[in-house]
Amino acid sequence: MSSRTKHLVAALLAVVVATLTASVAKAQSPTLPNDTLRRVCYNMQMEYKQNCMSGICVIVGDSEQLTGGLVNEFGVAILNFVYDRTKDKMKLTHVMKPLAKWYIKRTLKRDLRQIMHVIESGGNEYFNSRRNINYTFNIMNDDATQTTD
Amino acid sequence: MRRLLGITLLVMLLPLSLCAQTSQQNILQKLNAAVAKISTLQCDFVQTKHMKMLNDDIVARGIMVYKASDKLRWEYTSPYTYTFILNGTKVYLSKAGRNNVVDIKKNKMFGEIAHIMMNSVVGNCLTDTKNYKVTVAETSTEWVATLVPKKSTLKQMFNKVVVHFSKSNSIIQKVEMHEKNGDNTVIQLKNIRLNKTVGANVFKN
Repeated sequence: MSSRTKHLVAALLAVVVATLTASVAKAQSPTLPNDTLRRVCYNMQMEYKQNCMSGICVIVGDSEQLTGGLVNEFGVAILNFVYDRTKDKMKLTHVMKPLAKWYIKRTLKRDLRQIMHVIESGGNEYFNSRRNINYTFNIMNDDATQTTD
Repeated sequence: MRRLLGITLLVMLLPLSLCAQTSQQNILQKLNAAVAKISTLQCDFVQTKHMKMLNDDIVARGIMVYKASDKLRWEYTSPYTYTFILNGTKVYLSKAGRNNVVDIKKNKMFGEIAHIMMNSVVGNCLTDTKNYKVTVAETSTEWVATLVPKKSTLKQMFNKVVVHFSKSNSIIQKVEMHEKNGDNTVIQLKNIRLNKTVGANVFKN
């Protein structure tokens, strides 16, 4: 095989591998609901100092607006939010009492807005360096995620 | 004349209200007697959380093991894995390889959640008049106990807890937890096995 052919084969292989990697990454990376994907569920974890709060985050919506809820594993509501994608505005509509202090709500609102950006760009982790809070959102499998009919 | 009519009505209605109270007490006595006989309880459960604002449900499945009077293993198997073990005053939590231990004496809210879960799925909450106002209703197949929390820490979480007992065996079939924001969680117990031997390892981390 000539060196030219070897280079061509190597280039073709690289393209195939890159395509496969991208499609696998796309399948596994978190995503937000859109006009064809109505609902997405995430395993959520929030770490602050030595404390850790975990739960489930359900987000429903479309390309314009998302409505989400965080609950712990027992189903107790932690918070609900509405995110306007067109205006990039986050609103907390309900926060459980222990977290309903104005300074906590302000931090959560800002962090959730950033988390939407992170998930939209394919990431699953956000770190608030000012407050030292680490958030992880991992997509949950199968029937928890629904497509539109 | 009106006065006489009023007194007559009062005299007629008084026995009715007394009857209703007696009937409630009888039902509660029956249920408490059945609950007192439970030394262990094992079952599968289906937990459906309805989120009012999203108009959407999260359904989770798992297994529960209870041993009188202070041991509970509550394990979610699908769609997430999460284990909650109450053993005396300690709560062991396990999720995705991460383990935590909480002392419920030091963490009041956690203690409240742990005891709500244990008492409501077994039925011990019926006698907890210090923390709940209990009323009982009857249908053709069920007794339905409604518990309204009295304590502020419980009130923060729930408006009311509704427990459904089967009339055929006086065992809990379903628990509904109604939250202030309009959400509710329904836990359906299935495949219930009573008073079988349960090893101590079940309640260890």
